Amino acid sequence: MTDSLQQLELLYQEALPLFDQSQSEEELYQNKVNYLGKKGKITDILKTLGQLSADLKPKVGAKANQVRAELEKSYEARLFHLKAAAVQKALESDKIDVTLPALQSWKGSIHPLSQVLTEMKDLFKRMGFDIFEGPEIENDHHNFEALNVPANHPARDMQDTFYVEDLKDQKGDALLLRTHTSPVQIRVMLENKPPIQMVAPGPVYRCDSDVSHTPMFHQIEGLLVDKGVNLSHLKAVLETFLKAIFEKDLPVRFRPSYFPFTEPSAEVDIGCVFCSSKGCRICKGTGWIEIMGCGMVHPAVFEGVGIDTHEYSGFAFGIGIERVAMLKYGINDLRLFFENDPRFLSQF
Amino acid sequence: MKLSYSWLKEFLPHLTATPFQIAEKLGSAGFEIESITSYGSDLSHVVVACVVDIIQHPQADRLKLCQVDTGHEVLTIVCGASNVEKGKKYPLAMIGATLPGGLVIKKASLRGIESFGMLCSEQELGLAESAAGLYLIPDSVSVGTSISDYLGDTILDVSTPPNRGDVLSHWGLAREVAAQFDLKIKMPELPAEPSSTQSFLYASRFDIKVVDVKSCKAYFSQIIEGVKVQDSPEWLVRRLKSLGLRSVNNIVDATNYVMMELGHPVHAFDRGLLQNSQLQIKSLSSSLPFVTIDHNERMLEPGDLVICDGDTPVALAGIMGGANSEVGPSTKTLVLEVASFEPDRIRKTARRLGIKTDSSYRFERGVDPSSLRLALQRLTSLIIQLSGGVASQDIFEFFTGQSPVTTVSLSLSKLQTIVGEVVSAEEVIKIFESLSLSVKYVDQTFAVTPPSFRTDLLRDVDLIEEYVRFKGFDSITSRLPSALHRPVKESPDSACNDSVKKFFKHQGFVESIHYSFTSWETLQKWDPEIKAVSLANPLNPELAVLRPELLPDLLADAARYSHFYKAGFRLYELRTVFSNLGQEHRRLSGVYSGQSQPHQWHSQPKTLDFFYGKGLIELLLAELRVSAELQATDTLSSSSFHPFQQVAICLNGKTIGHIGKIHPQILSRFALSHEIYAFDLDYSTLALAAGKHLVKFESYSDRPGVGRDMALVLDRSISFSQVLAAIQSQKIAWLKEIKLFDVYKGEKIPAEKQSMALSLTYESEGKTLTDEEVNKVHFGLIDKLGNLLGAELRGS
Repeated sequence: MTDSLQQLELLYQEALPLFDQSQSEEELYQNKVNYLGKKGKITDILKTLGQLSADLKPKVGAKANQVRAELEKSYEARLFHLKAAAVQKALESDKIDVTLPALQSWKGSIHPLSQVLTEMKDLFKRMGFDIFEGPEIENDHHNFEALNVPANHPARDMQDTFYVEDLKDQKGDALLLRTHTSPVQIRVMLENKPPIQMVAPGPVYRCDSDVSHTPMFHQIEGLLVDKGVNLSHLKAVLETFLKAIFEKDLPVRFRPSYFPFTEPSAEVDIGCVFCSSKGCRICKGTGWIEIMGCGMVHPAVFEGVGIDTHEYSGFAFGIGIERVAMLKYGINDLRLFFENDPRFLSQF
Repeated sequence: MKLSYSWLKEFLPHLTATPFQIAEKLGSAGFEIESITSYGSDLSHVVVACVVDIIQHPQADRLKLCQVDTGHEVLTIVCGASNVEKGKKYPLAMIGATLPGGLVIKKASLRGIESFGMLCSEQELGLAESAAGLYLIPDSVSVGTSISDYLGDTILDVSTPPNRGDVLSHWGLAREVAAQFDLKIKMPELPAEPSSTQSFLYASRFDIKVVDVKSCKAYFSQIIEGVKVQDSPEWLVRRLKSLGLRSVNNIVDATNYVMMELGHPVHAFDRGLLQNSQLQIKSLSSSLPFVTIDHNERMLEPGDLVICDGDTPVALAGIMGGANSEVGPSTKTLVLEVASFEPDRIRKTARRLGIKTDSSYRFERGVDPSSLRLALQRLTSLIIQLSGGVASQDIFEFFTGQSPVTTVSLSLSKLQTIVGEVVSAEEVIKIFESLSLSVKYVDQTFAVTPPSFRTDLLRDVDLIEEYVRFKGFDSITSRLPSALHRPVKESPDSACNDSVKKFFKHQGFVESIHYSFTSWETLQKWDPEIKAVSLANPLNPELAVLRPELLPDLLADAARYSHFYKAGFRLYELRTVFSNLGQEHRRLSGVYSGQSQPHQWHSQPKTLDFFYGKGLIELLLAELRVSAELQATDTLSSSSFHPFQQVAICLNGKTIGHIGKIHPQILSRFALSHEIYAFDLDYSTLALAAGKHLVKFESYSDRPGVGRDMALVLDRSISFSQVLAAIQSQKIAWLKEIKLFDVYKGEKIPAEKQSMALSLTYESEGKTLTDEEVNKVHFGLIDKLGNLLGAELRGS
């Protein structure tokens, strides 16, 4: 009865390549049915087991189980392979050109002046400065007189003023467009008691238009009034601010200057950000770029708003937003800021 | 103020610092240097040489052979200039010289004769645009002097602060430089008073009367007779030219020279043109026309300070002389004026007439009355030197007296408090004294008396500034003030600003910033009846009106840049607008048009309509947590928008803005052909309400919701909001959500009707709803809608 054993071996040899070479899950399954199914060839042999002798029965039985187990294993292996191949094929059919351009949305932008202004406001807020905004139409008192610039003072030449037609303040003085953000200082000091620590950003206006002047531009004004405020504080605050806003440990230089509302006054220069102070066209070879004005609040200003100069001192500063934006973004023409050309705005 | 280095050296003979070192010192002392210009200083190998002999060139009629003494040797020079004369001095470019035009001087053979250099004209030396012949150098200059020593100069353009009238002269800046470099000043030498025993034709009978003594604090005058008005000598022309002043004649040039030297604007009248024997300094009492020396007619007003010959003004005091008394070629006798006028008066008149002269500039900033006599002496001697003439012995002097000298006291502790450093009293005294301030130090306090020219030193802080200016900011260590521990205050406008701008950026909007002023033309395209405030002194008509609206400029941009905006655009602006009464508000306005996405390969974008803008603003309101409502605009409509495509944005019963399609009439006025939609809202009110609408948590059911759809056929006149209101009026507790998913008008339903397809979700927190329960409620609702709106179910 070695026939049965041989037969099993033959069936195994016959089935194995059929399993391994099945090209589809259906074909594989059919092969499984043909050999291992209820009416399959190996099952058929097992059905004849009862007719065998007692000593052969276990041998043939064992062989049959072994063959069945081997084939089951081949089946599983082939099935796994076929499934993986099917997935692979499906993936390949889904292949796309990932280098095609991305889905485009309209690209929004924030005006560079707004971006710089926000950055500065955030910086000053983190340093503990309040943010105030004042009116853009001002009277002579807030814009000039209260800032120690009396009528007919030559310092008025520094700021050519736009006047508003037909509108007057309570005193009957013509209203004007503020020439600087400094009047906000006055308003804040009239309404608050020291300590005062504030910045005031916003547009200002001067009757001037050429390559380096636009009739409207933006400033941020700062004021700190408290007991014992001094020049070393002023220096430290502005150095900290400038290094943070230009994200660079650049040299900062203070030069004595003149403003009617501060005494002592200074202009602040930073090391040229384009040439690292080596000297270039932008800094006219000096290595320095003028960036802002500042000083200790003039006692006449304090007296006008009723702050006791024996008890308090303070410093004030003003910085042009356009200038900083030009330096930060490498913008070479001031007028671009207000032309609203899409080729300009879309870059920010 | 233009400062000549060579002139400065006349005041400071021991000055060794270079122009650049001076520029640096002045810069750190508060005088910004606008520019440094050198000329003539690069002319090496060019010297002053004397022509000792001239013979005719044997081979050429027009050339001469000159024997030229350079101080070291005598060279043969071939020269073609017609004005070459024996015994005269000219610049000689020797072999090795490179002239400004690039010409290199080499030994050259000219018609067979070797020439060892070239005699030069001003033009060839780069000193003038053109020249008639060789540059004649005065005899007084010694042979062999290098031309750059003789001619070369460096001009520093010094920016001076408005409170420092005292430095608007070479003398004044010399004082500053002297203090910085610890030098002594040497004043220009004045010849002894010219003695005149001659009888004076006019002087004895001439008088000056100061009528307005408030506006004219001092007036000095002298008569010079027998002057010869002619061209100025070359040195004077050159010196004035280097400071940007044009030479007129020797008399006018002398007045300018004294002004640049000593800072006193001075004037000379032609005595022969004066009708009366008295000049009066007075304020005008009536308006009259006056022709100034620049031959412009000016309208003088009552109160203008003038110098009068009888009733006729002959000068606008401190600003400009009159053409009627102008010194000219026939002038023989001069009346000189050296004065101190009230700065305010000068400034007022100069501003009104729009005149800014070197004279008015100085008077506005104040001149020092204590040096008037010096200035007159200097002027007189200079004029006599330049024009001959004899000065009268009588000098008219009107002087109300020196302003009282004020002593300013400054305590050491105040100085230390403001500077933030420990300061040595000795050093302070040394600094003050170097600036010509007299100092007494008693009880830890400096009592400082400034010199008469330092009218800017009035209070202790002015002295602190002098200390800091001299000592330098670098001497102060930076120390941050101790941190204040309190939350930062910020206005709602400012606080919301960033989130609004970020929101719009993420929605694909581009922020614009326009000038706050625009043109009437642009505004009237928006609204022909628009009211706004004009500027009294606009730069030009394009920038003449304060904007009461932002949308006109945005539409103007849409038209101006339409070439770039073919596929669409999204623009907005958040700025201040101004009412016609001058009230300020912040406005947030934007425009959009075109496609939902840029044109691209991927998919066909949709054209945006009204509902995009409506959604955008709803999203913004949600972002800002403002509970505003968008309402149909039967009574709240804006005439700028399409009457049937707009909604009002209402907050607490107040309309704060609109969203809609721009009215086609406005578009056509802006020459825009595409449909444009816009939103326009009161940002200040919005910002004030921002964050007020707090989020409240609502619990939700675990049970699944049951959905039911209904397609209602309605009259077209019934709006969605009416349908919604009708449904909500039924107060169905289980109804959690109502969604509109289709609106249909067309053949499949009767004309004048439309269908709205709604998807409703029913849900109960307590239990799972059965179909029967939901159906009962749902169909009950449909019946009600039939009654309320005449709605029928589509297809039923």
